[in-house]
Amino acid sequence: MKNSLLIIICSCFFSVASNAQQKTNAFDSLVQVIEQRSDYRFFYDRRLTSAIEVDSSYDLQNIGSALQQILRGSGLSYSIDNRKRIFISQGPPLLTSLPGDYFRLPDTARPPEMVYEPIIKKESDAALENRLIVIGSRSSGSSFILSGYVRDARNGEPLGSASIVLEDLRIGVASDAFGFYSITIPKGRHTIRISSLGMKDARRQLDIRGAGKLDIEMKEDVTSLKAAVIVASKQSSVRGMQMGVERLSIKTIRQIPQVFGETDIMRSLLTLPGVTSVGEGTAGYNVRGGAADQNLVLLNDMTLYNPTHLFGFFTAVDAEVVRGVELYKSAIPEKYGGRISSVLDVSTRDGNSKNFTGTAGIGPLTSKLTLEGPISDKTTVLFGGRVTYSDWLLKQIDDPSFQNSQASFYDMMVQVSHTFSEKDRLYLSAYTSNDKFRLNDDSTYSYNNKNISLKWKHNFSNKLSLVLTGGLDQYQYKVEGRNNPVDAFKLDFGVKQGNIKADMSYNPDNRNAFSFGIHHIIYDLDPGKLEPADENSLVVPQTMDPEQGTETAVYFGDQYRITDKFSVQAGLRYSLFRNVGPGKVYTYAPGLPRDEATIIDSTTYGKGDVIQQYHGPEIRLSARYLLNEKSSFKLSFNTLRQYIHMLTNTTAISPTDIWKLSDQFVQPLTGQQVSAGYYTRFGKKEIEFSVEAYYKMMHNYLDYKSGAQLILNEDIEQDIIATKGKAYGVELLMKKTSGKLTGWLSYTYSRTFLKVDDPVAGETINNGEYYPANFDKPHIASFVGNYRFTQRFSMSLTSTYSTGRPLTMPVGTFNMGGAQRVLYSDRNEFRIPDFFRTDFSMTLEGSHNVKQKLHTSWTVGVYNLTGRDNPYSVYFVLEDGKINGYQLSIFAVPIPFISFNLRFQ
Amino acid sequence: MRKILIILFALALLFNCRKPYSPPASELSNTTLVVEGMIAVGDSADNRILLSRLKPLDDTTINDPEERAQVVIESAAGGRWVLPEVSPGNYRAINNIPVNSDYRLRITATSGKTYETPFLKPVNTPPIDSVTWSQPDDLNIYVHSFDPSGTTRYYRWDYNETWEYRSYYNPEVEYVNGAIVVIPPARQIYSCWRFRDANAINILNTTALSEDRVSYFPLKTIPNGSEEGSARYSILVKQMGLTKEAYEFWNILKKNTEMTGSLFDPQPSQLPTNIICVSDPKERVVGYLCAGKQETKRIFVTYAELNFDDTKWMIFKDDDLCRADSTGGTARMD
Repeated sequence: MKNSLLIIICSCFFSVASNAQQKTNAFDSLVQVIEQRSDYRFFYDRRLTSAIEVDSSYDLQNIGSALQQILRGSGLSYSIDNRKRIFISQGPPLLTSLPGDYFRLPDTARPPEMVYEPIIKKESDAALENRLIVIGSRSSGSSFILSGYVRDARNGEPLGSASIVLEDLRIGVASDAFGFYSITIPKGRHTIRISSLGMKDARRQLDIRGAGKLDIEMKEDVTSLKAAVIVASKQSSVRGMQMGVERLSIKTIRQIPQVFGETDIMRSLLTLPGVTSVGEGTAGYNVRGGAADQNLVLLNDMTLYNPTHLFGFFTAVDAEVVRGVELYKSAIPEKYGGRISSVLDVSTRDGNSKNFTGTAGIGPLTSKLTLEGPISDKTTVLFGGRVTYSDWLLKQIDDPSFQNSQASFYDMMVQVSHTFSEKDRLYLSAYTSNDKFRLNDDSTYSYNNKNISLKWKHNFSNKLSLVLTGGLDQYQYKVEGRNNPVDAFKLDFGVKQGNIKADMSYNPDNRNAFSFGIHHIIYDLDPGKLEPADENSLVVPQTMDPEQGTETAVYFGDQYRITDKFSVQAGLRYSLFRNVGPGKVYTYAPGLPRDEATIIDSTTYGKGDVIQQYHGPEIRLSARYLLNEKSSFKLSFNTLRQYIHMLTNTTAISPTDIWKLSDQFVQPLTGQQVSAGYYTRFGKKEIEFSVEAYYKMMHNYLDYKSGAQLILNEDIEQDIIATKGKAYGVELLMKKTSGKLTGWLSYTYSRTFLKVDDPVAGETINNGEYYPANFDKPHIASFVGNYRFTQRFSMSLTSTYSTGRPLTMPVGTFNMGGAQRVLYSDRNEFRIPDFFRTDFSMTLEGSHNVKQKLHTSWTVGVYNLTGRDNPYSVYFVLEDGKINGYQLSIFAVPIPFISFNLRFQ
Repeated sequence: MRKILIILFALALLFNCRKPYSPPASELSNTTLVVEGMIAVGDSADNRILLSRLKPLDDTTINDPEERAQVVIESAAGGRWVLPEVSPGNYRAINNIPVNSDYRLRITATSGKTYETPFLKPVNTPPIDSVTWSQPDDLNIYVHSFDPSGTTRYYRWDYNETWEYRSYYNPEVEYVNGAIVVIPPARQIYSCWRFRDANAINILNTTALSEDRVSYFPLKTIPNGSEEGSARYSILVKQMGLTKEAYEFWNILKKNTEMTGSLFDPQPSQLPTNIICVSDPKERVVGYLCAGKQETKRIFVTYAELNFDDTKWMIFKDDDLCRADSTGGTARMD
C-alpha cells in the first residue's frame, strides 16, 4: 500500500455532484486528483462524463482497471497511449497504435480454437466490440454457420426477434423466440451488428475461419429508451419481410398512460392503426374489420379464450411478466392458424438467470408482485401475480343496492426454464386468471382461464431446430343465483383444448429459411349445464350435449431471398377439422329455413364417430422489394380458416358468451386478405413512415335470427344465419423512435360491412343488403408521444379520435297491443357521437445506481385530460310515455391516478 | 346480461356521466303507417282495424290516428267488406265472413297511397277450453286450450276487463238548488264499473310439446286487495291462432319494447311486415296481419269467492267516488 496512491472519495459528496448542471462534476474532480498526483493527462468531452458517478476507492497504480470500473455502464471507453495520455471516448476506444499482428500474416499453425463469448464477460463493452473474435478452426469451405443465443446482459433473458446483420454484406437474420440465431457467413473478417427492441446496439468484429458459436449479451438501453426501437423497427418495417405486424415492447407499453395507472397490453394495442374496439372498457378488440372472436390470443403459446378482467376493463395478463407483444394483422406466418383476423403473441420473460430480483406495484385498483431468479445455474423461475381490491369502487356508489355487491379478480403466471445443455432447453408455463362479480346478493358471475404448457427446444444442428409443445387450455364460466331457494340455479359453460405442436426450422443458408411443422388440437366443449342450486329449487336440470372436435394442421414455408433487394415468403398450411361424436344431429329439409317444422330426420353418432369434416388449404404469401436503402414495397396475400365460433348476440364480448365448434350447419369461417404497403424512413432523426392498404373478405361469420336464444339452445342451428363480410382500409403511420421525443402518429380509414348470405336464413337483415358491422369506425387518428427530460423523468401524452360506432336506433313510436311500442331503424343505420380522449402521465424514477438494492418509480397521470364525456353507449328508456335517449359515458371526467413501483434484488 | 350492464352503469355512475341524448330526427316518423288488427272470419266476425302514423320519439300523445282512410277486406272469391271509421283511426264492422276462402286487407289513405296484404289463408283457432283463476294471495287468471288437430301451435290472446266496485261512502242525497234531494238510481255514484284493455302482448307457441295443448297460460295477475276484486270482476278472453310469421312479429315487438342500445343488449330486430305499399314497395309499414277465427270466453269472479284482503282495499281515498258516465247506464271515473 505504501507505493500505491489511494484516493477515497466520499460517495455522498459525489452523488450530489452527479447533477449535470453543476460546473465541476465528480469525474472532473477525480481527473484533477489524478493529474496532480501522476503524469497522466486526460482528454475528454465534459458533456459525456457529467453523469458519471464516482463512489468508491480506486487503486490508481492500475489506472486501466480503475477507469474500467468508473466507466462501466456509461457507454464510454478509454485508451492510453505510450505518452500517458488518456482519451475518453464514446463507443469503441480510440486506437492509439496499430494492432500487434497488423503486419503479420495469420499464423496457420495457430491452434484451432472455438472462441466462446462469456469467458470475457468482464471486458468492457467497447473493448469487446473492438476485439477481433476468431470463430472456428481453419477449415475448408467458403462460408460457415455461426449460431448462438442473444441474451439480455442484465438478467440473462433470451432476446427474441433480435436482428443479426452482417454490415458489409447487408445480410441478416433474426433470433427466434428463444434468442437463438443462426447465420451463414463467408470466410474472412466481418462486422456483425446486433439490435433488439429496447437494447443498445452491439457490434462484434469477427474472423470467420469455420463454423462456430457466439453468444451475445446485450445491454439495456438506458440513455435513450427508444433508441433501440428504431433499429428493430428498421428491420421490421423497411427491411423486414413481414408486413402488417406491430411489435410493442413492454417499455413502450409502460409509456402509454392508462386508466387507474394499470399498465395494460390490450389498451395499448388500441393505439395502433388497424386495431379498434367497440367501446372503452369492452372486452375484445377488432383487427381490420374482424370480429373479436377472430383474434387468436397466445400467451407463451397458450390460447386465452377470455383475456380480460372486470368485463373487459383490463387485460388479464399482468404487464410485469411480459417481455413484449407482437400483433399480426395481415401476413400471418404459416405456423399460426385457427383464427382468421389476427394473432396476438404475448411472450413473457423467462426470469432473471443471474440473480434474484422482484418488483412490486401498488395502484388504486390492483397490487402486484413478481419474483424471479435462478434456482440453480441451469434453472430460472419467474412468478407474477396480481390481485384487485376493486370492491371499494362499488362501495363508493351512493346506492344501497351496491353495498352487497362485489367484484374481484386475480391472475398468476409461473414460468420455469431449464437448460439441459446448449442443445436442449425446457420451458414450463402456467397461467390462471379468475374473475368474480355479484350485484346486490343476486346472481354471481365468475369466469376463469387455466392454462399450462410445456415446451422443449432441441437444436439438432446449427441449421435445424425443433420445438415441441404440449399444452392444455381451459376457459369456463359460471352463473349462480341463490337469491330465492325456489329458483336457485347454477349455469356452467366450459371450453377445453389440448394441443400438441411440433415446429421445426431449417436454415441451410442465408437465402432460405424454412419452417415446417404439425399441430394437433383436441377441443372439448361443454355448451351449458343448468342445475338447481338448492334442494328446494324447482329448476329443471338441463345438460347440453358436449361437443368434441379435432383440428390437425401441417404447414411448410420458406423465406427466400431471391436477390439482395427482392425476397418472398411463401407458406402453405393445410388444416383438417373433425367434429366427432357422441352427438345427435337433425336433418332438415333441404332448401328450407331450418326450424322445428323442417326437421325430417335425426342421426345419433357414437363416441369418436366423425359427424362432420372440413379441410382446406391456407395460403400465406408475401413479397418485399427494397426500392433503395431507405424504402421498400411489400405485398401479401393470405387465406385463413377458423373452426371455432363465439356465439354472441351482443355488441361487445360479454362473460356469458359461449363458443361453438363448426358442424354440419356452422361452416368454418374463412378469410382472405390482400394487402400492399410502402415503408420508408427519412431525416436525420430516422422518422419512419408507412402506408398499408388492405382488402379483406370473410365468409360464414355468424349472425342471429330475431329473438335467437343462444344459451342452452340444443338446436342453435335454427337460430343462426351465416353472413359474409368485406373490409377495406388504409393505415398511415409515422413513427419517431430516437431522440428525446419519441412516439407515433397514425391515421386509419377503414370500413367493415356484413351481408346476410344464407340461402336458408328465412329472414334477412336490412333486406339482404350490406350493412355496417358493429365495429365499423371509418376514421381513427391517434397520437402517442413520450418526452424524456432527463434519464429519470419523462412525460407521455396520448390522444385518440375515432368516429362513433354504429347503432340501431329507435326512430319512432306507435301504439300496438295496448301499449307504446318502438320502431327501430335499419341495422346500424345511425352512429353514436365521435370519440376523443387525451391522457397524460409522467414518470419519475429513483436513482439508476446499479448497486442500489431498491429501485423505485412513481407514475402520476390523468386519464381523459379534457374530461370529454365520450359516449360508451346510447340507450333509450320510456319515461312518462315519452322515449328519452341517454348517452352513457364511462370515465367522463378527468381521472387522476398515481402508482408506485418497486424493483428489488 | 342486464346485471352486467347495471354494474357497468354503476361504474359509470361513479363518474357521473349520464346525460340526455337527442337522436337525429328520422324522416320515418309521421309518414309510416301502423296497422293493428286481424281479418276475423266466421259468423258475425268483429273486424276492427286500427290505423295510425308513427310518432317522433319525443311525442307524448297516445296516438296519431290515420283518419278518413278506406279500409276494405277482399276475398279471393271476390267478396268485399268495407270497414267504416267509427272513431278516429278505428275502422270496424261486424259481418258474416265465410271461413273457406283467402282474404286480404286493402287500405287507401288520404295521401292517395294504397297498402295491401297478400291473400291470407285463415288460421285455425280452437275454442278456448276454459279460463280459470286461482288464489290464495294474488288473483291469477289462466287460459287453457287444446287443438286435437295440432295445427294451431301459435297463439295470441287479447282480453278486456270489466269490474264493479263500490265507493267508500254511499251518498244517498244531494244538494240541488238549495234543497236536499234523494239521488235517483240512474245517477247513483255508489256502484261503479271500470273497463280496461290488455296492455301486454300475450303469446305462446306449443311447438315444443307433443300435443297442441295450452295449459295454465298466465294471462293476468291482479294483486290481492286491489279494486278489481272488491265487488265483481269479469274478463273477456279472445284467442287467436297465428301464423309462425305473425307470431314472430309479436315476439319481436315484445322484445324490442324492452329498451335497448347498450353494449350488452341484443341487437333490436327488424319488425317483419306483410303489408305492402303498392306504389312504393320499399316504404316501411308497421304491422303484421293474420286471417282467422277469434274464439272468446268470459268469466266472472265475485268478492264472495275470493280470499280478499280487505285491509289493503279499505284505505280511504278521496277519489273513491264515481260519477255517472255521460253515456248513462254505466259509471266511469273521471
